[in-house]
Amino acid sequence: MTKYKYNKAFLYCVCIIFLSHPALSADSINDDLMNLSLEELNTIEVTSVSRKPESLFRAAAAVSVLTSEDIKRSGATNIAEALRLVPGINVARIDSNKWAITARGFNRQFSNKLLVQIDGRSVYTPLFSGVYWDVQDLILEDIDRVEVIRGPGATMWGANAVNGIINIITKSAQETQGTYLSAIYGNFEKGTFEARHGGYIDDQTAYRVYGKRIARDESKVVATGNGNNDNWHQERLGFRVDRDFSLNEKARIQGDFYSGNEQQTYFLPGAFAPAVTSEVDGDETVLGANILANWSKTYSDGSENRFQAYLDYIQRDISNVLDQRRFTFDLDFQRTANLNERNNMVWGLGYRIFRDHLDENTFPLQQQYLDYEPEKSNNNLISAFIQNEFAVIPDKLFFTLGSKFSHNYFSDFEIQPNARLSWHATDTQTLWAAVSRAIRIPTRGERGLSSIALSTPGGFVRQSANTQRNYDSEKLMAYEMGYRTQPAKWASIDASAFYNEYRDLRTFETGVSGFNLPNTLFELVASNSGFAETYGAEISATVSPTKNWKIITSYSFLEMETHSKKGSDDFLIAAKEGQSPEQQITISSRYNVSEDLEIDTTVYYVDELPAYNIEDYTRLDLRLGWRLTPNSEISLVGQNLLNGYHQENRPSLYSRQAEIGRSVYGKIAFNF
Amino acid sequence: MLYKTIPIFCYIVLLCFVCISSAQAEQLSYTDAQIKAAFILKLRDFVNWPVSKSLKTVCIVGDGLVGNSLAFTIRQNRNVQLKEIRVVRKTLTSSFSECHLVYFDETSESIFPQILFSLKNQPILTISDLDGFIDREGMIGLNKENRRIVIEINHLQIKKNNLDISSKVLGVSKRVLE
Repeated sequence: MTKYKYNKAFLYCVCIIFLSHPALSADSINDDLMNLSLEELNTIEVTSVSRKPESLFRAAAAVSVLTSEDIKRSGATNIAEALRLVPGINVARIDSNKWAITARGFNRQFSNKLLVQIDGRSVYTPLFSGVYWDVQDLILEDIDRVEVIRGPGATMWGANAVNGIINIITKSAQETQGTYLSAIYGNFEKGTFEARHGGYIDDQTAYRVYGKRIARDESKVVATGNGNNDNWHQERLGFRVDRDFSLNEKARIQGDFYSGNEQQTYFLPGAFAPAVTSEVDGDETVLGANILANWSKTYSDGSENRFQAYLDYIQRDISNVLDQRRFTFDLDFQRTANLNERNNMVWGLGYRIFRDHLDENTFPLQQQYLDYEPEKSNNNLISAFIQNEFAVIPDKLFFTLGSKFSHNYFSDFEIQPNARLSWHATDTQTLWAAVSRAIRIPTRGERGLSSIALSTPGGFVRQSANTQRNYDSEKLMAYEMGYRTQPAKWASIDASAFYNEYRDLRTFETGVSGFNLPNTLFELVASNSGFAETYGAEISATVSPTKNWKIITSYSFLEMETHSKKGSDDFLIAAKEGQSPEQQITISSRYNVSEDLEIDTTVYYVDELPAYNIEDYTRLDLRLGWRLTPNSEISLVGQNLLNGYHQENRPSLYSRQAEIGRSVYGKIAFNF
Repeated sequence: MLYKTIPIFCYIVLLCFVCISSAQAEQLSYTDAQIKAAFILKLRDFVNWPVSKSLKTVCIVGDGLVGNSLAFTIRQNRNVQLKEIRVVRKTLTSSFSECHLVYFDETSESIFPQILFSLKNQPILTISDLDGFIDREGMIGLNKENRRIVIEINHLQIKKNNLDISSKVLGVSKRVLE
């Protein structure tokens, strides 16, 4: 009851703040300006500061950006695969439709320390804080850029931004005018078709609509070498409308709808009897829809207001395991203002509601593989942040201090502050350092889930949440620094190093959860007895030896030390050390043979995962792109050409260990 | 306890907001983006295109404040001087044959060399405020120096592409590559 009241109070505040802002406008510009002569223009002073998005080169964080050109020339056919190019990001394909992706360690199928957003819409699942990468798709051509921040970014971005943030930003409708058509077919890609059309509704309003269908073949089971029965297809439709009310005021509405089916053979412990793990054929049907509205306005003093709201619905029915329904509603307000010449402040408020319904499948013996308690829940997340950038020495030295304050449905009040210092000794050098704290909110599963970890003749070993609810957030203190330089026009180097201290990491202790499920041999109950130190570095260099040739290389190193507190009998956390690769190397070459012909080669090296007995591997991707006419292009792509089938990671739940093989496909695209 | 602090917090934030808002004085001032856009539009009086003679289609690559300013100004001023001009957004894969002028905005850093390459020998004026634009085969660069916007010109490149630019522009330019 009180909770409800206070939500209302919060919403009220948001509304008041939003509505009370005086409608300032300073758009009419160029009539005066345009009547000036060339000489006069030459002498006019810039008296007001335009707030530019912070240039990547000056950012005080380990940021990398994938441009739409990078994505195209990587030959990737989906977002998850394109992320392989980002320095320090570990992308491991588990099978045909599953990926494990994270930065700076703790990688697994449902990596729970990463925040992923598409045009400002958070796409991680509060159920386990991981991302269903199979349903994160777009027409890749319409992606403007993917900004990847390694390390915590909780202050500005919020919950779950512990080890990194992936921010996928699509082009505006103005930038995607005309018709685009593409088709992909190959041995693994069983027919991907993309169509998009963009136009103008009136002078100020542009739109685009798109449709996409994908179909992919199965991977191979490690143990038997047979097909893994995980082929899948997915269809999606979407739109985006952008309106420029004036030069400084913009709004957009966008939405997507998708539906698909993924074959799967489940590896279910205790489906029919204890001690028996059965292989059962089934499938996952996925469906989702979302709509987002965003409004922003820039004022004459360079300040900006931004308001965003979205609705998101997902549905995933995993046969024999779980039917999920989740509804999210999110409101965000952000304001940036130059307080004076030296201080730039940004602050914001956010409110999010989750509503879910989890319906578990019950096996014949009245057993459930996953048992969620309660089955329906209704939670919210409230947050506010404030951050100020102070120019200690204008243009040279900046000090940023800020914090996020949030209240969530599970671990109550949390503070996530950060302090950053950046020094731009010259125009071509940036040196930065940061200290930040971030937390990972407990998941729905950690709040109330009991699952069968192992089926033995004596009964089940269950992994369960502590129903007494004294399970807390995982916490991180991160110390980072980095250096960026552009020694010549044709070369740039970006290096970053970090030392992370984690506290209250999840462990599983033998104990009693309170679930009281039958046939239990013993229970492993979630507890916060883990801690860890990780350190590492990421270095990337880009060189353009000639005008037509660009080489991008990166190296990342990661060392993890995980421990559990005295008295803990957890035996799982130690294995985390061997579940993320220590070293990764990427070398990518892009060569324009002529105006019409591109040859791109990328080599990836990924270190072994000793905890899973997975060997290191080297992967070679080749792409040949040929522009037939100014409006059409064909390309031939070979992925994973070197060693054929190899395993990259392990599934977290119910599916078999799988290997990914060579993929060769052809693509044709038209733009008119 | 928390239920009490949150509204108080909101209230403080609200106060801050009102203070900040009221401190925003209406001022007639120009951002560098606006001045750059004005420059670009002004330049059309000083350039001679071989066939059309005048500027008809402005193309913008990338996203940024200058391009937005340009696009908006042209669309807003349908009635007066800019009546004849059209604005089109382009990307790497677009056809540029209709463009008379291409502006490369902030986010086009990684793709502009390739586009410039494909525009070779075509009478299309290329302009940008990206660093070292004229040293990388661009025609006109707009730079900020001491709070002023200055022009840089790669005259060689302009002549190569059969465009004619008035000596008046060369006169006010900070740097001219011949």
